[in-house]
Amino acid sequence: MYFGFDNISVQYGKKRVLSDINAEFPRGEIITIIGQNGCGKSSLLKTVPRAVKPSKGRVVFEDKSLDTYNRKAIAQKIAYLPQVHSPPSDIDVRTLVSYGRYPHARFGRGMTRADADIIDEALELTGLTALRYRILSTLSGGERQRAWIAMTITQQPQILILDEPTTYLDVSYQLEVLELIRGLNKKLGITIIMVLHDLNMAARYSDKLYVIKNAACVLKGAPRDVLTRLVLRDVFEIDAEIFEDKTNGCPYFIPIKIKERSI
Amino acid sequence: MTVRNALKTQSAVGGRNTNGRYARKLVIIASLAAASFLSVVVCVGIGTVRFSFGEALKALFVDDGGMARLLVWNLRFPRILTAGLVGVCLSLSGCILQGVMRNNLASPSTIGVTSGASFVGYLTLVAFPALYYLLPIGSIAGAFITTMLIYALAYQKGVSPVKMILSGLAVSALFGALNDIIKTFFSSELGNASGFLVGGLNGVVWKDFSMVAPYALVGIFICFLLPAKMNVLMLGDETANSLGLKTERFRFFLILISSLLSGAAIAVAGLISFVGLVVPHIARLLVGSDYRFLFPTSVFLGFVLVTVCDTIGRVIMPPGEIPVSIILAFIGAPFFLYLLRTRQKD
Repeated sequence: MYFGFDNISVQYGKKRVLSDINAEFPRGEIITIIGQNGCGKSSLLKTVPRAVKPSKGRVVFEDKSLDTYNRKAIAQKIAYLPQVHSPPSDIDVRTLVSYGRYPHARFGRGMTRADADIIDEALELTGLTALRYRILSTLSGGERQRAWIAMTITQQPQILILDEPTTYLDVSYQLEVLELIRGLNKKLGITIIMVLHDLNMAARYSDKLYVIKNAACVLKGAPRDVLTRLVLRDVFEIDAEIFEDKTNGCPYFIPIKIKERSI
Repeated sequence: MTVRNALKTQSAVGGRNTNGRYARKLVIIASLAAASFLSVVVCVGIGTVRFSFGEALKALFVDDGGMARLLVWNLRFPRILTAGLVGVCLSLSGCILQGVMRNNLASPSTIGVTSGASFVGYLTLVAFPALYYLLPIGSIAGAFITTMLIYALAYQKGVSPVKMILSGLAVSALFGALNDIIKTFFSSELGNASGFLVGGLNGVVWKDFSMVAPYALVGIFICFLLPAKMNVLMLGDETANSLGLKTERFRFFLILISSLLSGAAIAVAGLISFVGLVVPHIARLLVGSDYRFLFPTSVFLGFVLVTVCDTIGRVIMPPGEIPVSIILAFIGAPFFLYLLRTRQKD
């Protein structure tokens, strides 16, 4: 297995959040995990940077448990971007992006010319070159998120994991960020694994959708096969109308009403 | 579209380039380093017997066996150097604690480390009255225990300021009471460590300096290996972890270093409560929160502040002396309030 979850269970106190999750992520694809609030999709992603410790099971990378790698070695291969950030208030874009080189840094040796080139490349790729000396907190939400993504690019990862990268963003910024993520996948071949709230965005930008419901992974497949009336009804508890977005070649839905609950 | 372009141009103009900004910070650090050196030479010349700048410089660097040399080298210089060292240690300790707790109100005194360190220091003196040089080890251990205690009490994904200050207050009060008990019942055993008991640097000589210098210098040296990691830690635990930093282990290590520094300072100077809080703040206002600049700035600022304040206390009301902690409060507190009011950006 290239990368995936092997029988992972997560427990917070007595509450079982995830039970026996098995999922494999093929190299080079964009996979989005969807599910209702509190279904444990973020917790699942957090097992990768060990922010959440699974009560059972393991994260697998290149056929070995992630625990057998040291943390810097992981950080050179797998980047993770949390949903909420709390950076120092006066940090500028380029300084933030440069921290992505941390896992590659050797003790007692500063930034090299090569590091600087990688940082500038990441800035170019995320369209931040003109903004590189700006203070992060003075940028728009979309620009800020691009800066964080640029930081993960300088890690030069094979896999990029993003926990709701479009939260709190206006729709134009959502598109901006997701276009960027798709670009990274196409141009650099980075495998993308993310959690998204907006199902239409998920359907539009993902190769595959994984659906989590009742602490288990209940469905995997191409957006066309997952975004169906039946799934929306059973998993997301809405009655919806499905349409075809001809411009972008993907399905989308309009919620009609909340599913009537049998009382 | 034009609006968007206009906005873009504006933002591009808004950013200054890195070299320019680094240069400004380096100039600040260099000026503070020069100020540290000047403060030593000037302060060494001040006292009941005054020396000009040139005489003081000569007395410091040329051993001619004269009166100036004796006075400067044997009495004033060790005290001033110790004052500087205390300033450096407390400043760095405050810097580290503010990073560990992710909280700008953290400092050795606000979280009760000073009184915890004093307590174990007292115990050491009472248990081994003859072994004066064990004092720093005791106060370092005390500082470490107290910091771990506060950290355990107040930490939940960053330390909540209220919890930290309240725990600090409680711990401080507890150790303060214990300290008073010890001082009352074991006054004869404690006779040796005057500076430690009274607070302040009255009567500090080379022996005192060499007692704490090894610990302090090791701590200071280690600090300068840390900026890259500190900066990554400042991004938040999840991000720091995913960048490959073992945050729990690193925090533990930082608490150890900060205790080494504050414990060493407390062993020689007792309760000095202002430096560890204010110097990191002023340093941050001057050079920002990047630890590559924050550490050296704090070092020199702390050095100058305590050296100058101790000298003021030494000469302001002859023949008596005012402890450095009081001078620090008088000068530092208004200055700090002024800074808070004028530059409330953070």
